[in-house]
Amino acid sequence: MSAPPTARSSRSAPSTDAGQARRRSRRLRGSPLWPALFLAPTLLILGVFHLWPGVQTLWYSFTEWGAFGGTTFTGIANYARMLKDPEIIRSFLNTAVFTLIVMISIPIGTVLASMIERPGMRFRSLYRTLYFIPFVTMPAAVAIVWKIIFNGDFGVANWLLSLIGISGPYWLSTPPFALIAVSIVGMWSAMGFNLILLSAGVREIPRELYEAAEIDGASPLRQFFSVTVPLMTPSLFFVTIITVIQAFQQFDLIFIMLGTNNIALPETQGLVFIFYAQAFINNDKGYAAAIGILALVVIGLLTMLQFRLQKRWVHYD
Amino acid sequence: MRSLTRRSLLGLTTAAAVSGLAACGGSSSTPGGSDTTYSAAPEDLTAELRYAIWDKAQEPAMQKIVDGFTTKFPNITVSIDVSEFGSYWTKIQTEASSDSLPDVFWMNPPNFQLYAQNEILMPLTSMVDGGALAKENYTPAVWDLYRLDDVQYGVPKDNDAMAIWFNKKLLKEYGVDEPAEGWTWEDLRASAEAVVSGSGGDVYGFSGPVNSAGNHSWYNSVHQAGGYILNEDHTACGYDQPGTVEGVTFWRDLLADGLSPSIKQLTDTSFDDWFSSGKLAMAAGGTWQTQPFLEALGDDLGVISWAAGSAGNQVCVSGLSNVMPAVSKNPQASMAFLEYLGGEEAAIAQAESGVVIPAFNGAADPFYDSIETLDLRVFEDAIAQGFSNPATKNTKEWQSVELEMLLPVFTGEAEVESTCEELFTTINNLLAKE
Repeated sequence: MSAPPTARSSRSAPSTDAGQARRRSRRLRGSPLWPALFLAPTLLILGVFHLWPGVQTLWYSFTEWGAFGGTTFTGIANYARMLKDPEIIRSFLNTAVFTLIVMISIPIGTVLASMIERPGMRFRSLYRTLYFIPFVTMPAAVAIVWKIIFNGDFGVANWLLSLIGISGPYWLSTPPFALIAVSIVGMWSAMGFNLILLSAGVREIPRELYEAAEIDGASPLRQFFSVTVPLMTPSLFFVTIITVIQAFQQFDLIFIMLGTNNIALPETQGLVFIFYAQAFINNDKGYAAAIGILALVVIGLLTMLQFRLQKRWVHYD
Repeated sequence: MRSLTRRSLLGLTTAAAVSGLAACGGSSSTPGGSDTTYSAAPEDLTAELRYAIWDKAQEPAMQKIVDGFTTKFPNITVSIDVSEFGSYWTKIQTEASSDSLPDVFWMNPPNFQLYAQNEILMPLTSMVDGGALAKENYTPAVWDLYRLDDVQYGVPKDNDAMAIWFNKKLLKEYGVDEPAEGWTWEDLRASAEAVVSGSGGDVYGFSGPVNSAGNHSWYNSVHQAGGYILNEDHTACGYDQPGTVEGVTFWRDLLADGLSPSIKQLTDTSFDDWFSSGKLAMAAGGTWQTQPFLEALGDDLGVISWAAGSAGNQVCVSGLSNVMPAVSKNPQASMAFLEYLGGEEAAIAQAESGVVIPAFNGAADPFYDSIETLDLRVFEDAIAQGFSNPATKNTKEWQSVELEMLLPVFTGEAEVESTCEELFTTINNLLAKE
């Protein structure tokens, strides 16, 4: 806060220099330069590492690459090719299945969150930590461990199934199962992050509402559906958006759990995996850029759709 | 576009050469020439080199070579940069696109032509002319693998050859005689069957990397049955040959009859893991597996030449080379290092490590004798009689189609004959486009 003018005028012998400096500093403080200066580091990083590569990718999507760089403009050829590519169409279906399975983590997370945040719950931080560990573990390490778990001959998954008399499939090399296995791991890894966000949502619900509901004779189940769920819809909305975006960008789990020579790959790979394969295995970086742009557009559309639909189910205070 | 790139590349090469030479009080360079000229490096040459390789198992031997080199040139430091095989090539390709390649790096036959034709690699003509690199020192097959249009680009490093590894203990347990030289496909199948039936299906008889690497598996049986993958001048493929069909059928039958783990099982657990863990009695492998298998099985490990088909028991012979980029920051030091890598001292260091067979003539004895319990001489015969690894400008492209189409044959979902016919047309079309 600058000193009020009265205070200044009451001071003895205000030097003109000091007055000017003060005026200058006030001018500077009101200057629009300040916010720009504070935003600069973030904008610079965003610009260099996100925006500019994004613009470049858009440009590359209209070109064809030589083996070692050197681009030729080819117009919309890459996009035309994409429309006819059965791999791309198939990968949408795979991504959709993956996303739906991963989204199961949201209802499960909601139930778990409301249980963990129940008043009087013991070892709350322990549970939170346990559920959060998968999220902070390196995806590559997670994928390797699950790859061993799902091993057809020596994996724990099939050993457990054998205990109840089921002979399990070769999870990671048999088409529908490979996608299911990868999705299960995706769901498991998404759980921790969702749980933390949802727990915060649960904590924000005023306790009085539960007390009131209890006095009205609502069972815990009824309380969950009539108090917890409606009041958590803003958190649920956010979690859904984040989960869909992340599920759409799934790459590392498939890459490590299945590898690049897997017969189940066509029925498992998502859009980003095809992007990788085109860019770094087939070295067709122009086409890969077009696939990247497609993924961006699809994710953008899906997010927009969710924002439209939210009016029907999200309750804000 | 291309000529522009080439000209700017040349400009950079020359500039780098001039500055590199100027730094050491240099001699002459050839401005506008097609490569930087070799000249013997002075002992006080100062440089920091980066040497990129992809095999962790060879790192100690490479370090030993680097130590030998830096003793001769005390002001040069060499850092070894090891990557996993798959990411190695992604990295090299990216670095090549941005002129930031390592000073010296490993090259393999499937990738060589792509890099040489795009002028990524430094032609070593001046080293050959200057007497720093002599053809007669190396296995001819490996020397020729790194030549394009009569220009040498690679300094031969090692020889790969294939053989069959076996687990003595498992064979004994199921009453199967150890394979003897001169054995045939029929003997191999009979031994594999005996292991499978003897163990009640708990242990598999014979397998290989049939789900990932043709040159380590069916390329061998194709040649052993009189077929081929590519013709002599590498312009057409041989999938129309009866021998090729027979060679593919050999593996299909092994898989179909349950003598090998299925494709799905091999995808989950690779053949070398099946072998190392004592669940597979015999495995088609190569020289580079000597140490890992020895560590896993110890004295129970045995090795024998490939079983013979109707046309012999020849196997795919290949080898790596050391190369340097056309755009080099330290051309003189890099050439000095290449010269050392191609010399006898470096070859002996490799052989003594027992990991690979050096491509330098007469230096391989320490490798063959490195393990008392194993007759590694089988690889010497294999190298002498082998055929060279099929490679073209865009090897990766047709090989990925080849594997994609053959996998359903190996799982039993597709017919051998019709798939081979289809492959014949598909691969020939791809080769025509190269």
